[in-house]
Amino acid sequence: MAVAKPKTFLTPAVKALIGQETEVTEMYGVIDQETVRRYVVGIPDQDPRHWDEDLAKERFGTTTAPAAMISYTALRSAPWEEDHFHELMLEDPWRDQVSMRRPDSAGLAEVRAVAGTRSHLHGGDELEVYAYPKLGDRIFFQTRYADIQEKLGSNGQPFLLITRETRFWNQDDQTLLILRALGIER
Amino acid sequence: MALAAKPKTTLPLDELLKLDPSEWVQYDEMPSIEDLRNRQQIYFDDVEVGQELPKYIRQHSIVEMQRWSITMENTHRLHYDYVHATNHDKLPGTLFHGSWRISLFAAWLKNWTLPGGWLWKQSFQVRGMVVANEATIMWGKVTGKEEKDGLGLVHIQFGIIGEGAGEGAPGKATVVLPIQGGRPVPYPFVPPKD
Repeated sequence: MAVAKPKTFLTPAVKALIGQETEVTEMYGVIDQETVRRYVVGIPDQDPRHWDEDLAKERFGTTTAPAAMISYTALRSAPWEEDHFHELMLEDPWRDQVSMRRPDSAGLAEVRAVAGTRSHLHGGDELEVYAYPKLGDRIFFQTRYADIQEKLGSNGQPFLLITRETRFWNQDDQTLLILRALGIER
Repeated sequence: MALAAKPKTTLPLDELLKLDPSEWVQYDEMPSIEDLRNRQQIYFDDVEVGQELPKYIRQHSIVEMQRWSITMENTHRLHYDYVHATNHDKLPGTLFHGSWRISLFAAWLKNWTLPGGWLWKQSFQVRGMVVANEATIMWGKVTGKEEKDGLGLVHIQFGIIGEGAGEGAPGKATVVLPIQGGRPVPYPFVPPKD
């Protein structure tokens, strides 16, 4: 008996997403001492170069910041975004979360809507570090689908391995960080 | 009351894994602020293939997970709401954040290269769950080294071993170390020419 070929998720419409990118977006606010402090203690990454200018300036010119910090802060919401936490939690008290990200953070078309997949897993992350953000820096970023591949799972069923690449840079067009988030859709 | 600094005792990873996980945390090698301030440079010349990096051994509590959730403004309940995580999501406990791993690895690799090296690239896969109060070992081993454009590239295999699920985040990294008598590692970092 012939074994049925598993359905493919990697249709021409899904392949067409590769290379799709968001608009260039600017982070709300600038890099400030309080944000750096919050990540230094939250990680914790208590390298004194993050606050001691005398120690940091010889190599870095000024104080540093945790390398991946801007990958989180870039999506923070501005204070003028209407707050809907209360209504959303009243609507469903068992809701998993209410996002604190800026409303336009989705950016790219969802693969799920095109591929017909039903679940998402965080597959991993890749980081390239070029410089630390400085106090007062404005941060810009842009995300694109760098790659979408189909793989077969151990159960013989296909899944999509999706690479979303985000580049972060400052007001001087200096690349600070490149983050590639790997997602699994099936 | 200030906590006294612990003397750091090291054990190779394979020896550590023979111990009961409740004993792992005694061998934590996470540096103090003063260790980082006064860190002596490791040069490319000093590194050997097979060498282990200092192991950061933690037993992250739900309170520390909550601190990370606050830091990055992540309200997802499975990281801090035990009842929700276990009853609603049927998980064995509150879950360690994938996003936290990015910064923990980045800080650990950066610390190893201080003061004059650079963490250039790191990548890892999420393979296993870690829950609150589970002992974990962040480990790394040098797998290769090469000199390029006057800089010392060191390739590292790393991961986080949890007491429950074993290796949960296998990864690899390339850090750049200065060569004795060579040029400084540039800042901002400029990748070496082939």
